Amino acid sequence: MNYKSKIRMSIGWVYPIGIFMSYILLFLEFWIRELIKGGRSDIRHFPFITIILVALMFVILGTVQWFKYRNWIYPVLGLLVGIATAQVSFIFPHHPGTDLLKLTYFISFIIIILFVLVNWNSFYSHERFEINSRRLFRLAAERIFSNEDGFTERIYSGGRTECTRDELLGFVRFMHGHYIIRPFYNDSNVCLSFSMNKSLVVINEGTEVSHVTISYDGSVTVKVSGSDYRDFREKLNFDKLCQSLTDTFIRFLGYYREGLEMRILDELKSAR
Amino acid sequence: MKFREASLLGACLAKDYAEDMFRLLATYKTISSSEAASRLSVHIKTTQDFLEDIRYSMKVERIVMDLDLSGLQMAEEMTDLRLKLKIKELQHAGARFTTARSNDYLSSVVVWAGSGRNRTEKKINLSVPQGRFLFHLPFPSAEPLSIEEIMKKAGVDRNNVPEIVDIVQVLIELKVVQAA
Repeated sequence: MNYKSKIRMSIGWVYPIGIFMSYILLFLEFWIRELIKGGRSDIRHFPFITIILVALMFVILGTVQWFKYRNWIYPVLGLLVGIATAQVSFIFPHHPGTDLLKLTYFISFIIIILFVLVNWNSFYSHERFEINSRRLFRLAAERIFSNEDGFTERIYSGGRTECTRDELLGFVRFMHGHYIIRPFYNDSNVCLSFSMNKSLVVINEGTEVSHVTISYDGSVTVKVSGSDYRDFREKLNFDKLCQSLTDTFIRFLGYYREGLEMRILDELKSAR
Repeated sequence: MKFREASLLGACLAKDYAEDMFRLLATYKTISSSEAASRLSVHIKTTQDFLEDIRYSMKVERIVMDLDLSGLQMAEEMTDLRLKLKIKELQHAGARFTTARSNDYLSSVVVWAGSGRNRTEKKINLSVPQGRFLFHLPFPSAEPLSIEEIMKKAGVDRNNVPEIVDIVQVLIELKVVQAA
């Protein structure tokens, strides 16, 4: 079985990779400084280049996340962490800076903690929504092997399902409670939004991102956004992808009606 | 007919777009002025004025002048062969489809032509049967379906065949729909 995911890596993975690389760079810079220092006292024993590069990495990644998620908390956090990282040399032993400089580092650090605490709900919701949206797309794409592209902006008419209004609303609440979708209630239908790109925390309408709409009369329609479709490594058959998403939601609704809700979570977690 | 009425009708028939307008009126069961304007690429005010004049004149004009408008209907008969034409959306058509609020039919199609400063936008407002039909049009990667099959899937009445065939022809010309 091929365990290679059909979806591109999330940008969040760049952080641990970048931090790990920064440690290698740190030791490398220490070693080079030690090597060229010799008897010269004008070369300080602080890894300034690594510090600046890591600070830049946080700022750049925050900006990239802004373009991807359209969520302002990421560039602000990137900027704050970048500033704190740039000040990190102030707390190194033997640094010639004054206590005031050390204080600025700790103030930056406290601001970051406060910022994360105040916006914890947005951070947490966004991350959970993104993880589950990725699982949803992986699950839908699991058994699609034809790469015929065929992307279109049009809505896909998926078919019909049998359920009462209360069952549908209960199902939507369950899916929302587990951060799988974000619902938008309309007069005649419910729009279940999910996205690997634009943050579900910041959207005002469900149609801004990929969504499945289930009418109270049972008809199901699907729309996959262009940005989500481009996140697949290969151009999967778009028609089959939309049909597979329809089938997935109809199956999940069936599980809910039979009282087998936990199967929904099991299936999502098993998606490769 | 009074001279004043005759001159008004004459002026109306002399318009460049009069024949096309009559063709639309004869083809579509009902058509709004915005749909007719988008279809003929004329200003909506012009269409409204024209339709208002015709509505005023038609009551008498058909009897006195004996002008058979049905002759302007689709040149070809709606044969079974025509409805068997298999179609699907063309890959990378570059058209923008707007879905109606009820989420079960399309309300308009926008197509762009040319490039740079010469780029033009053509918006086609769809009638409800046309919107329902195009809502069920197969995706570019799907197997093409015949017009008849799509109409059945979309629940479009057979009385709407002329306007469905009309929009299919237009979209084939605009390279939005591909005939198999």
